[in-house]
Amino acid sequence: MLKALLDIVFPPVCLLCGERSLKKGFCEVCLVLIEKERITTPICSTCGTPFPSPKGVDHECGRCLKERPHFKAARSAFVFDGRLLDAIHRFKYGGDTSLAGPLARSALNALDQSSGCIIVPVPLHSAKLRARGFNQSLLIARELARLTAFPLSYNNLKRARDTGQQVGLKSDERNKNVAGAFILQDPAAFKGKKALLIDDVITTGATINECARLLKLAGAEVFALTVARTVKV
Amino acid sequence: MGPLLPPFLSFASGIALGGAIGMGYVASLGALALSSFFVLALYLKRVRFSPLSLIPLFFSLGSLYIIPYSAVEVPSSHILNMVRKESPADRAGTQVEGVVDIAESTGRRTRVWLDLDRVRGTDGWVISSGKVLLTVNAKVDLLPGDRVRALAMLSEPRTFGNPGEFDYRLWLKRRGVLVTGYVKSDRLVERVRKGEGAAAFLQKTRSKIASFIDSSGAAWPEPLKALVISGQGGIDRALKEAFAITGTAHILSISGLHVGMVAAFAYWAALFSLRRSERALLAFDAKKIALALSAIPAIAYAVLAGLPVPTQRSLIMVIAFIVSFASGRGKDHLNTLSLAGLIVLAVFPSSVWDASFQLSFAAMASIIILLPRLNELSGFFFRKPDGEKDGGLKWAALRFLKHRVLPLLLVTIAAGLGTSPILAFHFHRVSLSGLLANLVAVPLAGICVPSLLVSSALLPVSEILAWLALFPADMAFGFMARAVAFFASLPYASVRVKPPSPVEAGLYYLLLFSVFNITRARVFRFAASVAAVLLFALPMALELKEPSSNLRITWLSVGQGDSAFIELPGGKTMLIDAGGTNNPDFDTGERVVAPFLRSKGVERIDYMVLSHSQQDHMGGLVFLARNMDVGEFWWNGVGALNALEAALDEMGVTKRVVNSSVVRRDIDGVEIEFLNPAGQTGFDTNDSSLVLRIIYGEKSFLFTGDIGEKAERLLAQKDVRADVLKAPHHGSKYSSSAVFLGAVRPSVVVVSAGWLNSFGFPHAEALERYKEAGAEVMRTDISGAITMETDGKTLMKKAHLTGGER
Repeated sequence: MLKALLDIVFPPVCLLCGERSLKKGFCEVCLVLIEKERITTPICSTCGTPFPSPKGVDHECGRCLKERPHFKAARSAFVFDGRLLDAIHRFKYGGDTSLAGPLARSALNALDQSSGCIIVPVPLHSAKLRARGFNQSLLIARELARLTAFPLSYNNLKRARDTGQQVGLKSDERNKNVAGAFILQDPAAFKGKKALLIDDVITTGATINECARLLKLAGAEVFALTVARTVKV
Repeated sequence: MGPLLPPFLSFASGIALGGAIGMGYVASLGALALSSFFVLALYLKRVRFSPLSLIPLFFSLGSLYIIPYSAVEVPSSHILNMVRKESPADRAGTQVEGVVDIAESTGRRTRVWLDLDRVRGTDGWVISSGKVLLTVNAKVDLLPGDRVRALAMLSEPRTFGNPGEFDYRLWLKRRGVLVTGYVKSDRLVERVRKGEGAAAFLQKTRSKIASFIDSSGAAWPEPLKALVISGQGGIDRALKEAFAITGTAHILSISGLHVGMVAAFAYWAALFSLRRSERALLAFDAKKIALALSAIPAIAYAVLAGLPVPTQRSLIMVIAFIVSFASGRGKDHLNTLSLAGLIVLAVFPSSVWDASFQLSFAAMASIIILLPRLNELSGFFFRKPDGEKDGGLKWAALRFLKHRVLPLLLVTIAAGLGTSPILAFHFHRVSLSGLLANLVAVPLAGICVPSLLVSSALLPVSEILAWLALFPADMAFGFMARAVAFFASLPYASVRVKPPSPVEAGLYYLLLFSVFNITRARVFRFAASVAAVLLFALPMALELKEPSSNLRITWLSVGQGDSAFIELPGGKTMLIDAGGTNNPDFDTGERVVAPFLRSKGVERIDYMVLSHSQQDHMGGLVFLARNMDVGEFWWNGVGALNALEAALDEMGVTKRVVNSSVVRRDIDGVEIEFLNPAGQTGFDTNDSSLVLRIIYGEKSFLFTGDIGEKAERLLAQKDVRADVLKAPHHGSKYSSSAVFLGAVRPSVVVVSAGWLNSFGFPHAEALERYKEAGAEVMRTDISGAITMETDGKTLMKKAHLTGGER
């Protein structure tokens, strides 16, 4: 009843294109365009990178075999491209925080039954947080926590050093850049727990891996979920 | 299109048109029942819901809604009945008591909308009812909810009754007011009971702010006060006029723009402080919190302004948008605007007719609709050349233009396009300088208004801090005032226009909308051309037809004074006098004659004639001399023209002294005779009045100014025979002597006098003499403007208020 009234008073329109939509978030057209970017099997069973060939089953990729990451498994819902890229840019740089909900909802599918996890968003350095006004990972994590009823921990894992922009750095440079950038204020909280790291986009995995290292050190079993990931063509 | 747009537009149309097409309770309720049944039937038939199906429902709802306002119920105890019973001469004043709806200070005066509940009769207090608009001749601080007692001279509101005139009576009636009252001094108003404690506190706060600004040494105390506690009566007239000329007058009254600026500033300030705290940023969605917080100062601002109706409307609008942004359901602005409109009309239905409401909504709607199109267009021009390096001063300047100036420019263009026909309709002017003036003034207002509010908030803390915040507001207003004055001084800063009819305004909007959507669908190409043809070509074609071969004379109702406008058969025009008052706030030329001329599409007065140099004949001419295209000026050469002379000289108008020594003029078949003797000794100002006889075919008209018996006796010896006589000296008993009437032998006498004027014009003796002479009497005080038309053989007479076309 309340929702019907709300639909009349503030009818939902697509947050991307502004056209009328049936429910809060994206319209049907944009939703289809976004779904086009969804990652499907086969993917790396560890880091979640999709394999170029559409046939076959999930298996570990060469990179993960060579150097096992600190997380147990990472998944991404979409390829960082097309309409989805627009959505994330608008969310992160355009400051349209209303996008957190719809993005979290559409990323939910990529989460396999990792029940009982503590949801941990990848933190921003406080200077960057102040500049931007919000932490996009936290907003998505908060929506996911609401949808899954998992506990949320946003104040334990901190970024102690401003690592600057990762964009434009090469893989090994990124690794070096983020090394030791994070601290865990209360490692005891994660002892024997499962932790689910959340970020908007995963590129090389350097940041997620560094966070996972800390959490693993604290005694947690670490998983990761991002809305999107960049894929090398 | 949002689902609320059709209901909003049909509700507004129902309110605006329901009364006009005669929908009473029966028709409205019937239509409501039918349209509800229609909606229900569609629902039961499971037809896919379309908001368009709600149009009849909301139209009938609107027409039903306005009935209590358009046909105000007058129970026997209503104050109107009491006012009507009282003889007009009995003006001792009445003690009234009631609750204040709204009190609006206009500087020297205060307008109090009173919901009256008792009146003191001869036998003590009696229960009464009705809304009364009291004008208190002083500044009184009253707030909604206060219970007051006042000694007022009550009367039924009247209009002069001229074509093109602002209908004050109707304006009041639409607000449910049938009686107005004048209160001579603030000592005659007594607050019997204050509103609640909060109201009293607010009262004190408001007056504290006012006296702080007055004593602060600010250069612009009056406008600054108008921008916090509202009421612009104290603002210098010339300054107000400059704002009106440049289309920036909206800045001086608290509108949606102001409330929106305060909300935007509060949002920015809240976000800024939230950003100081990492903990807060992590714990909340700072943007949403800041958005919610921004409503608080907006509400505080409206309350501080004393909640005048336009401010309440603005607040409703701003809060609707805040809630819409916070809902995270995307930005369907047009729907939010419709929502705000529906709420506003439900609370204040008569807003439909208010210029400020129409302007706010037209501005918002055109910004919402046109801005995306304008952005596309400008994107086309402002594309960054490929391969150009980012950096350098030129690039920075371009970036500033594109990101700071351009959006503001586009918003101003959109708002200007949307509001122009409404400004033309209500104020008969289009501001050509509006674009540039607003471009400068609006950002300065954006500095001025928030700092004023910050200053007011700091006032209870420290006067020094408050002064520090007031200083930038004063500076910003100073820059604004100077810029506005500069733009106003430019040639063609604003042009006076004939007010568009509602149909023309509708065509304009259709044309505007179609042109901006012309690339979207073929139907718009078609609609644009049809609208353009109807809007421009048709009036031109009508213009080309032969000018009327009739002589038409209109005696305007200018209150206590004289004014007659003559349309000569060849298309030339003549104006004899233009009334005039001693009230500097009411210029008959500006308020009566000019609107009348503009409503007729007349821009030129070929012959401006002054009967004699007295205020009630000359006063209104000054404005017309400055604002109309005047051919030449005729007068009797007696006395001083003062301000009129200055205006005529400035505009380079030739002045001619005319009297019986001047040969008669023939203008396109109309003969004009000058009958007043030249240099007659022993004549006073009135007796020296210019006397004109206008003859067309077999019909003649005699204009006599204010002549008395002495001049009449002299004239009676000449041929002064006329079918229509303008009663000398407004029907004074010392004029219109039997001898003179015998020489003129008029069939009609036109008396131009003010309603219940203090001179008692027209005098009973004069009226008796007209009757004896067998002449019909037509009076501007009773009938409003009187129009006569002749083809040289027959004479047609028409009165604006009482009708009677013959």
